[in-house]
Amino acid sequence: MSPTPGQSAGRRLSPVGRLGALTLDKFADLLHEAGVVGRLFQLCLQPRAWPRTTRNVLARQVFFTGIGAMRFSMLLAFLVGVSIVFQTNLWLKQAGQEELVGPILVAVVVRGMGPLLVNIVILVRSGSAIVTELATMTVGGEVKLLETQGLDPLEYLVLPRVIGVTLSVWCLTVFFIVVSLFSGYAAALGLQVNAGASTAFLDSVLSAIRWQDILLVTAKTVVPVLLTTTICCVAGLSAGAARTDIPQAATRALSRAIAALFISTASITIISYL
Amino acid sequence: MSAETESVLHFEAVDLLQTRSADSALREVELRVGPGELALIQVRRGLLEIPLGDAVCGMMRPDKGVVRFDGLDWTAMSPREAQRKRHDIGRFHGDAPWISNLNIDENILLGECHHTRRDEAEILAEALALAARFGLEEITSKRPHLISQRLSAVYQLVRAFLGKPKLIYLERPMRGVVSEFSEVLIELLGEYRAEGGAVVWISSEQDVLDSTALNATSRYAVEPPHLRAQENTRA
Repeated sequence: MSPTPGQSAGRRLSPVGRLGALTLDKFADLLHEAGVVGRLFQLCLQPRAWPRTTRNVLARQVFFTGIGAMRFSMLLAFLVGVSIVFQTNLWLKQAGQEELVGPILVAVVVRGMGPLLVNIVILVRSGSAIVTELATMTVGGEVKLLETQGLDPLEYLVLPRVIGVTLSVWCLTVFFIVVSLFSGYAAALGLQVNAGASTAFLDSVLSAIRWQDILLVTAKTVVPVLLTTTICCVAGLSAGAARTDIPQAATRALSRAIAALFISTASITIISYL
Repeated sequence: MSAETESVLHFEAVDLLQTRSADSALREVELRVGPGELALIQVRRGLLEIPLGDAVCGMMRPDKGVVRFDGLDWTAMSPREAQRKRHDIGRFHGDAPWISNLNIDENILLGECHHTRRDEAEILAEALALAARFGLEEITSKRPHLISQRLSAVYQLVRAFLGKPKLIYLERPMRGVVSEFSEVLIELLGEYRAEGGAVVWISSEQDVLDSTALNATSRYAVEPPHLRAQENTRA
C-alpha cells in the first residue's frame, strides 16, 4: 500500500509537512496529466496513430458526445436564450441603451456562458461515462488485454476520446450560441415585447463580435475540455484492481475535472483582458 | 544460424517473481520453442494464474534472464516495435478474454484491423473460414457477456489463429468446455505447425496431457517455483 500524504517513509509528518506532501502529490498528478496532454498533441499529428480501429473509436465518441448530447444542449440553449437574451433585450430597450444589446450578449452568452455550460454538460454526461468505462476496463483486465494484442491504450482509448470530445464540445458550443441568441430574440417577438427589427438585433450582435472573440471562444472551449477529458481518462486508467476503485476513480476525476474547468476558464478570461 | 534466430520463443534463465500470488512465481525458467514446434506445459488444477503468458508477450519484465521472441529481447525493443511484435502472437486468454464494449466480431477483428491494412471483408472471410472448421456458420455480433462459455472458447481460438501469427499461446483452452472441438483444434494446430508456426499450450486437463495426437515437441510441468522439462524432451 502506498503511503498517504501524511506518512512518508514510515514516519509521521507534521501538519505543515502533510500539507506539503499533499501539495506535492497534487502537483505530481498535474504534471502527469500535462505530460499526457503533451503526448496527445504529438500523437494526434501522426498518421500512424490513426489506424481504422482508432478512427472507429473517434467516430463513436463524436456520435455519443456530439450527437447524443445535442438535444439536451439545444434545450439548455433555448432556456438560456429565453431567460438571458430576452431579458437583456427587454431591459436595455426600456433603459434606452439598445446599442449595448450586442456587446452585452456577446460578453455574456458568446464569451462566457456558451463555452462554460456546454463544457459542464459534456463533463457530466461524457466525462463521467469515460472515467467509469475506462476504470471498469482497467479493473476487468481489458486494458491489459488490449496491450497483449499490441494496442497502445493511450492511442486506442485516450486519443480518440479526447479528440472526439473536444471536437464535439466546440461544435456544440457554436450551436449553443446560435440557438440561445435566436431563441431569445424569438421569445421577445413571441411575447410582443419591443424586440426591434430582426436585422437591427442581428447587426447589433454581429458587429459586437470581433475576431478575438472567435479565438477566445475556441480557447475557452478547447483548453478546458482537453484538460477535463484527459483527467477523466487518466483517472479511469489509473484505477486499481478492485471494483470499489471504480466509483472512487469517478469521484476523484469529476472533482478534479470541475476544478480544472473553472480554473482554466477563469485564467483564459483574465488573460483575454490583459 | 544462431539459436536466437532459430527460436520463435526463448526463455533464458528467467525469473518471474512479481506475481499476484507468491505460489505462482517462477525461477530459472528455460524454455525454447522453434518454428513448427509445440511445447506442452502442465499446470496442476487450482494453481493461480502463472505469469508465463505475460512474459511471452513482453508484458512482464523478467526479474532475471532474457525472454526473446522472434530472436529479439523484449526489453531491447522500442514500445512501438513491441506492440507490432505482440500482434505476431495469437493468444487464448485464461481470464478476461474480451473487450466488453465491443461485439464478438469486432473483438475478433480488432488486432488484425489495427495492425494491418488488409481489407476488413478479407479478414472477416478468414475468420469465418476458421469458425466453420469448428462447426460455426457465423461470427456473432453479440456482446461477449451474451454468449456461452463454449462459444467464447471457440471464438477465442478463431482470434488466436487469425492472421497466421508466428506463435500461438493457449492458456487452458479446454478448461470448463466440452472437448468436442479438441480434434479440430489439434488438426488446425497441425496445419499451423506445418507452415512454421510455434505453439505453447498450457493445460491441466489429463486428456490433453495424455493426447498423442497433439504430437508435442517438448513437455514441461509447472512445479512452482520451477518449470521442469519432462522426459523425452530436448530442453
